[in-house]
Amino acid sequence: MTEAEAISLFKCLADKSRLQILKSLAVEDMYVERLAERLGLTAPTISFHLKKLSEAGAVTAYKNQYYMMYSLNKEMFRTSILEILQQESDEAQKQAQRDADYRQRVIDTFFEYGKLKSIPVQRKKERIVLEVIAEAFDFDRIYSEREVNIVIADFHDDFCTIRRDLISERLLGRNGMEYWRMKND
Amino acid sequence: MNEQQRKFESYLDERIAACKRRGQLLAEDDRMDEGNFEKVRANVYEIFKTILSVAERVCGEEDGAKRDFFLQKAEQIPTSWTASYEKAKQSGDVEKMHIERIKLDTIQEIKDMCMRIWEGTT
Repeated sequence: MTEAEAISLFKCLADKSRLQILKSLAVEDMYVERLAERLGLTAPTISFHLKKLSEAGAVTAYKNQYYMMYSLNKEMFRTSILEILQQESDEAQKQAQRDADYRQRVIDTFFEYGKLKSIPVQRKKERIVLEVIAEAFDFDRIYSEREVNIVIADFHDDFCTIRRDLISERLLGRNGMEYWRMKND
Repeated sequence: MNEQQRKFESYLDERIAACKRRGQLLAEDDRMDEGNFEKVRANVYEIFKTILSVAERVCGEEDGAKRDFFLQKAEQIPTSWTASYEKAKQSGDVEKMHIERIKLDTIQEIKDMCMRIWEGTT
């Protein structure tokens, strides 16, 4: 189900009459007049709601002798809300671009000619700055504390704070006096 | 304002109030679309309440002329609704069809009531 389809379905379901129609169709397939009688609504009103439900893919219609019968699209309702939420958003690409733009703005603000001007106070911004510094470390290599300090000192004098924060942000791993760059998922 | 006009105006007022009341109840009951249909219905009554006051201004106290003016407008105005209904029908736009049908049914009811009041059968 695409995001547009999910929105259309949720909008359609947010109506008591339409929900009552679906509940009736969950029991058995019905035609317009039967639904109208059962729900105390006029046939044109039922037709209106059925049209909306059909457009949202919630019901399907088929001809049976003289009647147009409506049935619940059970397949659609087997989709869980969690599955819908976990689908990739149509907006995902735009969101990723916005995130990349934000990241670049933070880097441009806090770095000048490769040096860190100051350590950001905001955690989100500090995380971005630390990720940039972490890139100076190679994967699959063990560093001594002195080597770590030298790499960080190329960016900023306060290597103690940055080293500690790199570890707390799980960008660097530490075991005694040994450090290594951590691989993040 | 004569007796018939007073009676007709009061009928329109009652219908407007009833539609608004029903619309509110439907909205509170999470039946927004049906609530909106009541607004459409109320709107038609309001249009023809305005037409009635225009009839009084245009025709003065001449009673038959007022009724004829009103009925003439009640024939003229819905022609565009009928056209709109047909157009919606051709494109299978059930929502638009339903709205235009409500308007046409409402004006038919208004015309019937107008005749009955002026003929003194109500």
